[in-house]
Amino acid sequence: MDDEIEELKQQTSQGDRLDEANAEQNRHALKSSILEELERIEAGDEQKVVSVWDGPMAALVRALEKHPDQLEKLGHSLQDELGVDEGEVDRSEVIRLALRLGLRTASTEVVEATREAVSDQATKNL
Amino acid sequence: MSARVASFLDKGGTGKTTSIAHLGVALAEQGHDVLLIDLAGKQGDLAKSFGVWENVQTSIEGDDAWPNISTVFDDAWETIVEKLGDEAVEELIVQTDEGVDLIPAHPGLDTLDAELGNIDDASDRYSRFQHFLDDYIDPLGYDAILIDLPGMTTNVTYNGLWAAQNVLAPVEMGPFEAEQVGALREDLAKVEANFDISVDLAMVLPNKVDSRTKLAGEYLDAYQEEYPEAIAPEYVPSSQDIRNATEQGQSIFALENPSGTAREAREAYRTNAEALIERVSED
Repeated sequence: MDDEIEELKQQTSQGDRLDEANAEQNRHALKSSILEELERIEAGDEQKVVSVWDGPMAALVRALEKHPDQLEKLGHSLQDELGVDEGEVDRSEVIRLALRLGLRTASTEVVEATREAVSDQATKNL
Repeated sequence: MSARVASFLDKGGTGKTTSIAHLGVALAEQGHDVLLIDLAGKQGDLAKSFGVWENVQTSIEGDDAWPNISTVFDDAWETIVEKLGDEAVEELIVQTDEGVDLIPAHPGLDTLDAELGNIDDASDRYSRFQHFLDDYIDPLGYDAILIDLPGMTTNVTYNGLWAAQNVLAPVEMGPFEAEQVGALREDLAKVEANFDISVDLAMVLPNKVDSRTKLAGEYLDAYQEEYPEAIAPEYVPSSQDIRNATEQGQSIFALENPSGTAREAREAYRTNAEALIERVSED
């Protein structure tokens, strides 16, 4: 199925109210947990670091640093896919972008819950 | 234009789905090309009546049931047809073994109802299905389109009434049904007054009638007196065979050894189907 048709399918698919209520409840629970974690980070109880054990990926990232033109090309391609302005990229930025793109592809709900939690945290003291 | 009828009464269990299924098969038997459409809810009862729900359900579970009946109400329906071509409408229609085609229900009818509620303009909210039938189903050349509606008034129900403009009201022989037919007649008058759409009560169909009881006879007389124009020529007798056949995914027309009451019911459906098509074609 081509992308345009798939998008139409997503936009026009109706569902069962009970299933949708359940999905909504799950998203809300995830958002609350993200918000709690953001507050712990803000309070200095947790670090802002994500680390993974993955040999081939660690090798790739270090190799890319030795080939800055390819690192930059990959970074710009990720920015393009995510629809964000093209800007400077380094190792961390490429990993951040790849993580975000992967999550968005797999589950828009998870990304949406994160976006809402960040927005709630940013506006809570206003 | 195809003759259109929607089966409706603001009450559950009066035999709306069974009536649509059997009148549809009776019409097909009389040589008409018939399409049945299930707007009645996510259970897919009409498809179950013809033993085709299992396949539909498999495709729903596999997320392959798109487009489906809930999609045709969407703003994007026209775009979907442009992209998919004839396949978009063909995809909706299922053939049965009893000579009728069927557009089965889909769980999406559930949230669709709330979505329709968000459309501010009432004419737009209630006429979506009518546009679908006019623009995409009429060109297919069916002689009759029979629509099964929910047993309550929802936005989907009103869409069905708008589109069909003819109502078949199956009734049991009881005080609540008698009241509901009265309420239905008042509602139809309101629709006409408020929206300038004439929805006719085409047939009041006495259903599951146990002719051995005195009370049934009294109710039949009362319906006859109250709705002389709309009452069906024949009542449908209560028959265990109808329930059994439905459970087996077929109509009583498909039974090889029908009981006496099933044979009477068949005849009643045949006569009523003929009268129904005549009444709605006169409009």
